Amino acid sequence: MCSTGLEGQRIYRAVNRRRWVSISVLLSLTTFFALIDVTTGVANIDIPTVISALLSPDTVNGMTRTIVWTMRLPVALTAVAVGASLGLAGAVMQTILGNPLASPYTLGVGAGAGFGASLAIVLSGAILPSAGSLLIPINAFLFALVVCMSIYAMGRIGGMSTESMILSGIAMLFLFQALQALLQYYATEGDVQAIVFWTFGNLQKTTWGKLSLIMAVLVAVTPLIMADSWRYTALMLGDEKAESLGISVEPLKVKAFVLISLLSASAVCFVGTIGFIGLAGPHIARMLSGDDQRFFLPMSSLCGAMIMALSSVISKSVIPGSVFPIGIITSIIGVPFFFVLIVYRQRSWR
Amino acid sequence: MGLSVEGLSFSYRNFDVLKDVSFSAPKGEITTVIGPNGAGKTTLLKSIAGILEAQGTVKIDGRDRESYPKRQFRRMLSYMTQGNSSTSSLSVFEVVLLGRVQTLSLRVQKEDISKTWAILREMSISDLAERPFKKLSGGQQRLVSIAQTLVCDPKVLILDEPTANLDLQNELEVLELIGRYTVSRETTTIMTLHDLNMAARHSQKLVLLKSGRVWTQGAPDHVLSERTIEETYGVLSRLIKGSKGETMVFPMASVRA
Repeated sequence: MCSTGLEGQRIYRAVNRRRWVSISVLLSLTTFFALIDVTTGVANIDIPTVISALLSPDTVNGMTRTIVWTMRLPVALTAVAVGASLGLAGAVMQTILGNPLASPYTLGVGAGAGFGASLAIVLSGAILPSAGSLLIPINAFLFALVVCMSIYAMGRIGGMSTESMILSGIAMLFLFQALQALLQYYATEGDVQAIVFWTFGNLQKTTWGKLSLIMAVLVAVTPLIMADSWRYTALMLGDEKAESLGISVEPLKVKAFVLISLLSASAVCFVGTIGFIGLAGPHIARMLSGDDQRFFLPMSSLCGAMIMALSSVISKSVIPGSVFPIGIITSIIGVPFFFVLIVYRQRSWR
Repeated sequence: MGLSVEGLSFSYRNFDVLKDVSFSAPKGEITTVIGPNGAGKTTLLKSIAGILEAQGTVKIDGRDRESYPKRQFRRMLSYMTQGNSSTSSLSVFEVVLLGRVQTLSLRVQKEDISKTWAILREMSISDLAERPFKKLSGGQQRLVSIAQTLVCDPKVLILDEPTANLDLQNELEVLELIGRYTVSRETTTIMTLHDLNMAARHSQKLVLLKSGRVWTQGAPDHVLSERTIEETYGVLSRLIKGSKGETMVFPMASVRA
């Protein structure tokens, strides 16, 4: 019995050791890209100076300190927080819906937020010009929640079945894209420009305050999701099997949906539409960790953070001196990257 | 004491799937529910396991199922579904470990790992431990599902078609394992089987369902008769006794033909 136990533990620990190595690598890469993100910009600041500015701000000059702490660090950390939120939300969505194509973007959360922001831009321009900066993220947040709650409501009617929830999400995507097109059709030229810019996704308008809100949601929601990680793992065997293992599947999905609604809405409301992170992050994580959700969920979050940090660096490097909207970058680097993943997975299945 | 079912009824969209089903399943014995397709066997097992909300009473050791704290009830009863398809990349070890999901914490305890490995060894499938579950054959997946059901040391074991997709050798070995397990750990085992000969040989009690009702119940010798099989299955058959006195059914012709 003793040797039996030891053999089992050897096998179990060997698998987990590989996963911990993957987590360490992802964490290091995310930190590295975030650090590079802080060094990248019009003013040339090298890595040692950035590290000095971060660890002992008094040792660098005032200009460097201001650039690092006021301008670049909030952007770099917002990229990481938004990427982590979308990666985690996408992973949980894919797990509870049992569909690898589920993500906040493909199920219309981004479209809902985009419409909310557009509505705020049009209304604030016409009615409350001074309230625009506040109204846009609030409205984006509310409409992102409206999409999530609509999917959830349709899911409840359909017994939280995967099909009803995915179809509702796709319907929401088309509905809010159409509504946004309608708004743009009637909006003034200035408003259309502002709407288009918002939907591109942009990190540059972030502040420590906005970052704190995104981080607060992420920090509050992550432990609640992780506490159910074994139950999510059981869902990988199918709803019926999970129920046979004594898991109350419907309440679990309801709780998950509320949490991922908060995560996705808080992530997109300040920075605009960010595609592909919620889809690509979980796919990379799944290749590294398998379906054990105790590793898959944090790895998805880390992958999302890593891709966003890298995208932020690229967005500032494409044209020196100017910043490309990050939503465009994530999609551009995401698509070919995704094709590589598909080919790799096809080969590994043979 | 074991498990008893009293007046269990279940309807789906105004269709009565189970009608006033009552029977008892003693501790340390195997009770097998038999009956033709659509008789309500799976619905009955799901109702006992609490997955479907049926009317009626289910008692475990003389105590109403509802009176047990939910968590305790889930730990004492283990249910294996009919299907076992999955597209997940979970390994066999992880799938079996999930049988202990009610007690697992983020950091898996040594006891959980040891019990998982022990059941894999007992069922002679430890060589599959690291393989992805989805890449196994249907029969191997069935064995893994049975291991998953046994790994949590249940007091009540409910198995829906445990031998589906298994070859003859595995079918015999699995039924013998379930028999040994039931006796040695004094579990109350309720299962469904389509093979009447296997049901007669490996069960102490049979419950024959037809159209959601209990047609008859009792020892295999009592339940299986040529007349009963014709009335419930619509099949003409001959019954003979095996070398150990067990009843064996030879189907001859369908009465529908």
